[in-house]
Amino acid sequence: MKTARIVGVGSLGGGDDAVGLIVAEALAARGVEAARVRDAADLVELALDVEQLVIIDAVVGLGPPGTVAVLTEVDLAGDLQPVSTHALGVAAALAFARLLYPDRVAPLIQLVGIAIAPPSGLERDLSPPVEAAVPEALDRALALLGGEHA
Amino acid sequence: MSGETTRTLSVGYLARVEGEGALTLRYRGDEVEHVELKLFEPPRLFEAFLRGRSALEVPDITARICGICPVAYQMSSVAAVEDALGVDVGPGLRALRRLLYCGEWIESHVLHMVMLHAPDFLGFPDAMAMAREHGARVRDALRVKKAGNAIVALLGGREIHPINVRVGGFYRLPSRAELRGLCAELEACRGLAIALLDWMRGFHFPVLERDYTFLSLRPEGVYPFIEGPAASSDGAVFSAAQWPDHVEEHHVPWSNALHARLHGRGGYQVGPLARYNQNFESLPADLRALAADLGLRPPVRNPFYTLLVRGLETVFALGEAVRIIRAYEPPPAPAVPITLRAGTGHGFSEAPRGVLYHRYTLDDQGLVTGATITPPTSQNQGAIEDDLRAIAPSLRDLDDEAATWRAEQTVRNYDPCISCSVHFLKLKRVVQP
Repeated sequence: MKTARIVGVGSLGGGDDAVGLIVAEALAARGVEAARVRDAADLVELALDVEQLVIIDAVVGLGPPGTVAVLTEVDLAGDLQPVSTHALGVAAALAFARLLYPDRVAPLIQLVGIAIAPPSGLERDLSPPVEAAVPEALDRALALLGGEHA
Repeated sequence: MSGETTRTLSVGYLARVEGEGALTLRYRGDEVEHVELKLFEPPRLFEAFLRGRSALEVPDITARICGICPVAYQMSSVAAVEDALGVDVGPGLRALRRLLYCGEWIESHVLHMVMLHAPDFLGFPDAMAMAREHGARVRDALRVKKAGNAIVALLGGREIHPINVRVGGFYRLPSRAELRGLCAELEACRGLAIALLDWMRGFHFPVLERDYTFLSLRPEGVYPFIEGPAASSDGAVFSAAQWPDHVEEHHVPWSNALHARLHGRGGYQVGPLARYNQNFESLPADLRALAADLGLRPPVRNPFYTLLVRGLETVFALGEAVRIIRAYEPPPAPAVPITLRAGTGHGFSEAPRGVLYHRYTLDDQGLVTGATITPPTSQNQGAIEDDLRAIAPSLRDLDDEAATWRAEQTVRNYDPCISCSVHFLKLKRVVQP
C-alpha cells in the first residue's frame, strides 16, 4: 500500500474558505489522519516523502457552490484557483515543491476541490450548499486513498 | 492648449500583496497630478461581529481577522480587554506572549522578504522565477518560516490559528522540555537568517530618502512586541488609552480603508523602520554591530531598506525566542483570575507590519458594546501614497512595464496586508477598469 498524506487547507473565520479544514476534521473523526494548514506555503514540505498527496480545499471557479471535483496539478495550473490566505497559493506551493525538491515530491498529487463563491469577508459559518458538500468531499478523499480507507 | 500631455499609469491589480489593491498615478505634463492607492477589498464587518459577544471570546474572534497575523490580533485584543478588566498577567505570562509573537514575526517577515519582495530587487517577475536561480535561498527561507510556525503551533495550540490564548493568559502552559525542543532548530535558523541578510545586502536598492514621522511602541530597554508606550519621532509619547487623543482616522473617497494621521500634524509610518529607528539601542549588541556592518545605523529613511530591517528583525526574533525559552520557568498558573465588568479598554502591540490598536467597551456582563480596530496597513496608506508621489517623477519616462514594477516594489516595502486594513465606513466597491 502506498504512503499517502491528506491535508486540509483553509482559513477559519473565512466562511466557506474553511471547508478544507472542516473536511479534514471530519476525516480525523473517522480515524483518518489529516493535517490542517491555513498557509499553503506549508504544502511545500507536506508534499515531500510520500507517494500520494491528497489536498482538500475550497476552489473558486469550479462551478456552483457545493460542487465537488477531483483536480490534478494540471487543472490547478489553469484558471481554477484554490483560495489562498497568504503569499503562496496551492498551485504555486506545489510548483515550488517540484522545483526545490524534485526527488522527494509525491509523484501523485490530487486535490479534492469544493466550489465556493469568491470570499467576501468575515463569515463565521459555511454556507448551506458548501456545508452540504462536506460528506461528498470526505467520500471522494477516502476513495482516492483506496484500500482500507475507502 | 499648451500641448502638454497627460499620462495615467494604472495598475489594476497589485501582485504579491495580501488582499487586493490598485494604484493610479496621474501626470499632467511634468507634474504628478494625483496619486491614489485604492483598497477595494470588501469591507470587513469584524467590529460589528464583536458587538454582543463576551469579552472572553474576543481573542478567538479577532484571530480570524487576518490569515497572516492572528497572533497580533490576539495580543492587541487581550491587551485591550485586560485593560478594561483591570488585569495584569504578570512577567511570566508576558514573556510567553513575547515568545508567541517572535514566532509570528519570523514566519511573516521571512515569507515576505524572500517570496514577495526579493524578486523585485533581483529583477524576477515572481518568486518561482527567482527560485530557479536561488533555490537554496528559498529552501532556507521556508525552513526559517517553519521554525516560526513551530513556536506558534506549540504556544498557540494549533497550526491553523492559535486557540491557546485567552484573556488572562493561556489555556495551557508548555513544559520546559517542549519549549527547549525548539531551540536547536531556532539557533540553526538564526544562522540561516543571517546568511539571507548577507545575500540581500548585495541587492540594488533604489535611492529614496523621505522625512517620515515614525510611530511605534518604544518601551525602555526592550525591543517592542507588546510593551508600550507608543512614541512618535516628532516627540509624542502616549499610552494605549491616550491613542484616540493622538491618532485620528479619516475617510478618503478612493479607498474603503480609513487613513490615519496624528492630531494636528499629519501622516506617519508604522512598521519595521519605525520600530528600528526608535528602538535601535534596545537591540542586542551583536545585532547593532551587524546593522552597522550593513550600513544601517539609524535613522534609516529609505523605505527600500525595510527589506534589510525585516531581515534584522527576523534574526532578532529567532535569538529572542531562544533567550526566552532558556529563561523560562513555568508560571504558577496558565492564566490569572479575571472578573467581567463594565469598562473601556485600550491595547496595542507591534504586528509584523506595525502598531495594531484595539479598543473595546464592555457592559456590566462583559459583553462587547463597541469595538475599534486600527490595523497597521490602514495607518500606512498615506505613507505609501506619499512614497509613490515621491518616485512618480522617476517613473515618468519609463515604459508602463518598468514603471509598474517600480511602483509595486515601492508598495511592497510596507508588506501591506490589505485583507485586514478595511474597517467598514463606506460600503462601496471600486473596480479599476
